[in-house]
Amino acid sequence: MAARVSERGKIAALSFSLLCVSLLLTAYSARHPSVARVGTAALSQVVSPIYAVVDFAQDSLRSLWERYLFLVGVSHENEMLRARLNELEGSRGTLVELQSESARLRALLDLGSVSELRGVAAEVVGDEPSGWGQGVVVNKGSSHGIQVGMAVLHPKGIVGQVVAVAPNFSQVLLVTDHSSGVDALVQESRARGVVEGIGASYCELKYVSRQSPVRVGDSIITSGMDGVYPAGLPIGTVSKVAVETGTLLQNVEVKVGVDLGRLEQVLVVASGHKQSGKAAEAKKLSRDAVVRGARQR
Amino acid sequence: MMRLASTMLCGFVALCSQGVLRHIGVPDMLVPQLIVLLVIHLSFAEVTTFGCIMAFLLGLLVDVSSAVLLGPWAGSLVVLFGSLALLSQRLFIESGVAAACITFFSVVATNILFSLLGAEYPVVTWEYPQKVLGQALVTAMVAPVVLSALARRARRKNGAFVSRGSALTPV
Repeated sequence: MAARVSERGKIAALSFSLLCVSLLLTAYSARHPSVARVGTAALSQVVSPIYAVVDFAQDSLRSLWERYLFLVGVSHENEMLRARLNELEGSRGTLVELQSESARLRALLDLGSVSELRGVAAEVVGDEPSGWGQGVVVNKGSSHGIQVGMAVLHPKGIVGQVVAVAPNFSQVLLVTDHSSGVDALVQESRARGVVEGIGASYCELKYVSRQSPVRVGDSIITSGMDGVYPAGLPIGTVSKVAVETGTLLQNVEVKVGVDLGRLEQVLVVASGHKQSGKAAEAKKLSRDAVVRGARQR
Repeated sequence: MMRLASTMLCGFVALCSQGVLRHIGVPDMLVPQLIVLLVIHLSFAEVTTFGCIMAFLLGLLVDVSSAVLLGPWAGSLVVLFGSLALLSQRLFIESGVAAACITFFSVVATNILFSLLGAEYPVVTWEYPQKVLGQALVTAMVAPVVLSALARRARRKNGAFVSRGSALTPV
């Protein structure tokens, strides 16, 4: 017991002594702050890797929690994002369609400016109602200035001509129809003929003499002599040439340049009518001259 | 010497644990003062002058880690050790409630002492009392577990510590 008391006395004395030492240390370190930082750097050096490991573990756990465990609301968010994606896909489709339409209309306008044609842009809204002939219906009619006989064009070539006009719709006879005829030239050899429809996407260039050089791949263009189509517009390319023995002419098959099955926008032009008007004016002038001459005589 | 190294290692681990808790975002007032728990354990399990020196060194370790002043924590923990060592015959630390109460008051007392020792210097702020009370509560809550774990460790050492003759350490 005495030893225990003695030990406790020693502890008390030592505690008091160490308290005094700590007071001295405090006072000294307050005056010399660098003393308080002796070993702090070393301690930090030892502790830093532990913090790095803790950071790594914390990040891993957070990642595990957020990506694999805590998925409340993810399904709902997923549905929302899918709905949004569908909406945006729809908008994108509309934009692509508008862009495509814009490009087609620009091409039509370019066609008008290049060939100095004044026309009416129209949209194909249906096929020929009867289904017997090859034709389409466009959404512009007499109220838009369209008349029977006007040429219908596409940036890739001619389409046909207007055969019937309603106030807001017009029916167009395609060049591939059997009853269609276009005065045409072989661009390379300047051989002249008449392009008549034979159905599908093909026409036949008729009345070309067998002496005229025509080859597969030659371009066929409008001659402008029919008073409907302006001169120099592409019709198609020669796809087959056949010369039969004992005949003066050759059979030339033409593949139409325009994909008539996928028509959307077309340009209805009055160029042929203008020419017709000019021709009529010329005829009137010549008739007037004849009348005047007769009167003079 | 091994006891000193072992105790200092425990102190280092305690400091690191506190640092890690702060590092991962635990509020300062919820971080337990594990070093104080270690000194409480020493004051019951190592009632010797050597225990006193170890308490002083543990305090110095805290002072070094704080890099503010060298001495206040050392002095506070030495006083805590001395006080508890002198009272250790009359305190029943094996009870969880008792351990929690002793720890709570020890933390508060140590921090008051620390603030007194560093009163002349800009160590203590207005938030300090709240922080100390929070830390004292949290430390008191973990005390039964930590102290019993430390006691078991001391028991395994099989008489390595000089006991006060209680169930805490083997006689």
